[in-house]
Amino acid sequence: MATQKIILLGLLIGLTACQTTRPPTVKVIGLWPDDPPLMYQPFNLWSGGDCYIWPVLDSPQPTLRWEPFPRPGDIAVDTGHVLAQITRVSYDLRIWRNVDGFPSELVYARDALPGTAQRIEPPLQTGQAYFWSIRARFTLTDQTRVTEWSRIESPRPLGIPASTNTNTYPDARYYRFSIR
Amino acid sequence: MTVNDRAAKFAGIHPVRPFSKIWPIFFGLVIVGCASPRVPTYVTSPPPPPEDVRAQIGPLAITTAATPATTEFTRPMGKGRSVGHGGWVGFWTPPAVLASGGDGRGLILGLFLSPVAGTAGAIYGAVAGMTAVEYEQVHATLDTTFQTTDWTSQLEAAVADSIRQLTTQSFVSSTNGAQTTLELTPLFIRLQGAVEIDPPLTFVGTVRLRLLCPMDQSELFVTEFDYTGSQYTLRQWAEHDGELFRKELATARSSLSDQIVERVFLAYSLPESPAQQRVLPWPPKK
Repeated sequence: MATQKIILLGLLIGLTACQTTRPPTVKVIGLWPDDPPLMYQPFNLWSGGDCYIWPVLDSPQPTLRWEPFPRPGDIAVDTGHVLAQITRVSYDLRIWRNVDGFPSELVYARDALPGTAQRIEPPLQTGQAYFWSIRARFTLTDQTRVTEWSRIESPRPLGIPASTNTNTYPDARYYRFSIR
Repeated sequence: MTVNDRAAKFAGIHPVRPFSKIWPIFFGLVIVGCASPRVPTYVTSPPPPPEDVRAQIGPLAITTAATPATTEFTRPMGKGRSVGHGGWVGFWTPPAVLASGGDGRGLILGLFLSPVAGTAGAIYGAVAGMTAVEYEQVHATLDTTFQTTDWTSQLEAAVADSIRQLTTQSFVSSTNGAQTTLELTPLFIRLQGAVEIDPPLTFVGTVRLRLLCPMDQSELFVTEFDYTGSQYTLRQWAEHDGELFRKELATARSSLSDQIVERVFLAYSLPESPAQQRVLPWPPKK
């Protein structure tokens, strides 16, 4: 009896160890968030998980950073050499207040930001969680174009039905952070 | 508190615990029908047109289809049905909830409470149920609000404004000199929800968009946009001559016009790229 318990406990610990050591693979639509970064906790038998962690920021005026556009990966798959023709790249940034797990109230909007970082002014409300998203704005053959608002594609954040594959604005799959 | 709990706390999403489900169910059943505004509003957008379609868009004229949008309002339960439904739900809620832990004493206590809860539910149904006459009045108020708002013309104007603000697209005033016609057809304005006693109904507006070549009326692009808005009971939507309904129509018009223009003229879908997928460090760096 005692041997069986030990074996079961060993299996349980081994299984948990396997799960926690496996780094999560996350897919996004659009540009990656550099700071605050995406943080995802894989499933773990002891503490649950399988969810995104909301990075907690100390400053109510955080500096958000994102990757530049176009990404080397985009150019590599751009067989029509369309992206090689783009000029005047800038970025649009949006921040929404989180209400019940949804970006309900747009609190910050800037268009045509020249760089890949932006300090948020005026200060955001403390003790509050936020969604944010970024997109590239550029000129292609003299016409303005924008990429999709960046969002998490998979694993799907908690509370988003598996059937939700449509493009919505705003979208509960945007990136997230909270202010302490 | 685990990392998961902290994440859920900040997200406003609480981890599921079996026993924590009971009380929300109970209170949810007790206050069934008591609607409160739901916050999320959003526009569901289709994929943008391909660049070769955009290359064919020339001087643009905006038109709206002659057929008016269909209005559909979910009809709540009538008085008689509401009394029966309220009594039924009220009667079975106490034993179902109190016995859900597998406790026989809870079942007995629940059955004792059933007549009281059933009566309360029936009274609630009698008060909150909507008669056929009241429904007709509310329906007429909302229909009149929609017609007097002239939503279709206002949507056309809002789309034209958004095009001017967000793009460099050239316009013509009539279809005669246009190389492309952007045709807007509001298909449905719905207040939709479950058939219950005075249920919360969600505002949904659907608009079809077509890009046409005026010479032969051939379709370059056709798609639909949905606006999902606030949630109120039918009575609340119709209060004060449809004030909430009128405001939501204005919000829907504004949100839809911006999204229509962004999707049709600006959005560019990047090709699938390996850069979109990354292995994150675990545990994450603080």
